[in-house]
Amino acid sequence: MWTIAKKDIYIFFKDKRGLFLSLLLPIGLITMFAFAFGGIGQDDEDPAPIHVLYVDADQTTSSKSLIAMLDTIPGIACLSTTAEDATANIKSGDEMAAVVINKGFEMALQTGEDLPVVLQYDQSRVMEIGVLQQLLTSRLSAMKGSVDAHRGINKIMQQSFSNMPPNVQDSIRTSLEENLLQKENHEQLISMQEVVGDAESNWGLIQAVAGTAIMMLLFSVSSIGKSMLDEKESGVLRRLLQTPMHPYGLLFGKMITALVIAVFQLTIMFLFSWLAFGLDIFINIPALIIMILATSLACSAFGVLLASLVTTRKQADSLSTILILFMSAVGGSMIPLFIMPVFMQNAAVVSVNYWSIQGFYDIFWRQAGLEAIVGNALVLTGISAGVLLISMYFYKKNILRLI
Amino acid sequence: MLTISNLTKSFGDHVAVDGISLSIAKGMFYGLLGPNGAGKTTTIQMISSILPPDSGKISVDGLGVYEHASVKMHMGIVPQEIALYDELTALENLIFWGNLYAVHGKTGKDRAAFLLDWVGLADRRHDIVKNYSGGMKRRVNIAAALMHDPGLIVMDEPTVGIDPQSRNKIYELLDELHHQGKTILYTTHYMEEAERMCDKIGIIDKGKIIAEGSLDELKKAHAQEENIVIHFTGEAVSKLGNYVISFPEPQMMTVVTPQARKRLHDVVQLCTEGGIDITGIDIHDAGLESIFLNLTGRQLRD
Repeated sequence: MWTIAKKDIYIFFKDKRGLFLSLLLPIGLITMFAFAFGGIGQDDEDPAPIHVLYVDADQTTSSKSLIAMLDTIPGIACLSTTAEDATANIKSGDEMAAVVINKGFEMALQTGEDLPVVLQYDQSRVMEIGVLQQLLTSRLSAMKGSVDAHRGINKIMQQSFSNMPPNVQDSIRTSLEENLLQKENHEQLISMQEVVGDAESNWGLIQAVAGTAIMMLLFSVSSIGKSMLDEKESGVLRRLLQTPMHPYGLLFGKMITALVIAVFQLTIMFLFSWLAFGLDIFINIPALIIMILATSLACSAFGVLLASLVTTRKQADSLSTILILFMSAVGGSMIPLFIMPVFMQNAAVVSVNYWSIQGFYDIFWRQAGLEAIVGNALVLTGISAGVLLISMYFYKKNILRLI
Repeated sequence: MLTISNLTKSFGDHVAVDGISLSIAKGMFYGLLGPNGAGKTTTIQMISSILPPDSGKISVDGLGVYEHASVKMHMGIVPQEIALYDELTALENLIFWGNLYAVHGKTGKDRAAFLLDWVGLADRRHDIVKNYSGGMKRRVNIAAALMHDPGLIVMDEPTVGIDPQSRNKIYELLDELHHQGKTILYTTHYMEEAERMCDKIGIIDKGKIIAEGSLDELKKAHAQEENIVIHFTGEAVSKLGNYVISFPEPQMMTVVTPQARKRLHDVVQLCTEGGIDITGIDIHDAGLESIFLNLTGRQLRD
């Protein structure tokens, strides 16, 4: 077992070009996902704004005020267009939405009738449209509330204070306006408090590093497992079994090799994330070491399982690609879990990726203590034991059956 | 040293080894000669304890190979395949295989260096095996089986697919092992190899040993016939009267018959009638080829 592991680890590190490529690919993917999820590379600049077309057929102070209010929302840029162009641009996919303010907008605002405002949109951008709809509704409500408040103040002034001197009326009006209109700024109605994460942390970067590293790790260790099939096909396995080595020595030897290489690869990935993106990997060293070991163990067991399930290298290549991509997709390596529907989030628990990624989130994002990741580490160790037992069964059935 | 009794192995309906018994004394070079599919490799796999027999017993120095794992320490197996790691050098390969037989450290390195020198590859020991020729790989393949200096060496067609020069080099190595007193079980379908090297030959066909003994014993027992070897030009014939014929080479026909000299005239006449343009004729004593032909009605290379 140790002789096999020693030889395989030696072969892995001997091939310098192969070693470089085995690290380059995950580093490349981590970098790409870090840019995609973590906003890496944007420095302090604001992200590109979302364009919202508007058609102002009313051309009144109120309609212009509404557009101005929308335009001041961070991340939104309003662009004037015609009704025909708005529809055409949305249909072609060039723009996602248009606010159409029809004639009579200001009048409806004054009289309290339904506002003639239409939000045209592209159904495929439903999530962004939902946010835009809320922003538009809140601004319209604010405008309408303001108009209603002024109308109410005028009514009160006329009914109760019309016989007062003008300077007293002005004083009362100012006081009423201050009291009734001071809460127009909706953003200040509630105060915000970060409970998890801080300005230093970047969940997107953690997602990119943990998710990608584990997915690539699965590919690396599966290739180590698959080398058993190469040995079988070349006749080396037959010769190995003729030696005094225990028949399971090869399986466990591959597992040890995969474990060592997995620990090495994960460590390099985290060091790279620290050096390149400033991920604070030293926040909880013991927890990080435990999670790296537990993740590597589970991935290694999975690597030998993939090779044991089949009888030829070709079958293993196909099966491993399908299973690793499936497990990575379900487990949250490719897409953050919170974006997925609830049933997929529940299904994620069957994957190694899920428990590993959650463990790394606990360390880097939630900054939880050692006790928080023990559960994940134990689950991963349990998965490793279960997967290894299944691997042993199939190893005997598929790999050791030479004829 | 090696004793096999009533060994059988079937794969479904196909009986690959059918009640083989043989005994190889210490220091003997035993050749198991038979055509492809005769059951040689299956027998080797059972001896090397990776394929359990359906019945029968295999023992080395009285110890059953399936009952005593320690027997493996006394056996060196040279497989038919080049079972080496291409990414490792010859030296690294030998050290690895030695480690599996508990030959570690300096002992392993020294032994590997010695064996590579012995097989004539000392100057290439740091080259990766992938860059070796077929004959060089075969020599490393043999050396790997000798790392633990076994008393019994089992070789499964170790010269398959290599050029005559490399083959001769391997013959020299095998002669040397024989002279060192190693016990060798050697399977082959090349009669020349068996004739040249073996003290005792077992002829195997369809899973059974159909004849066994030294070359002289086999000739005495089974070679009543002689060979009339006819060299010719032009088209060959598919039949020559009632004679058993074979074509070892494209323009060479062998006629196996008793009393070859008396029947020579008859054979030449049949050739002439069949349109064969004879360019030369020889009469040879029967070799293993004709013994096999006599025993099975088929050629070894069939």
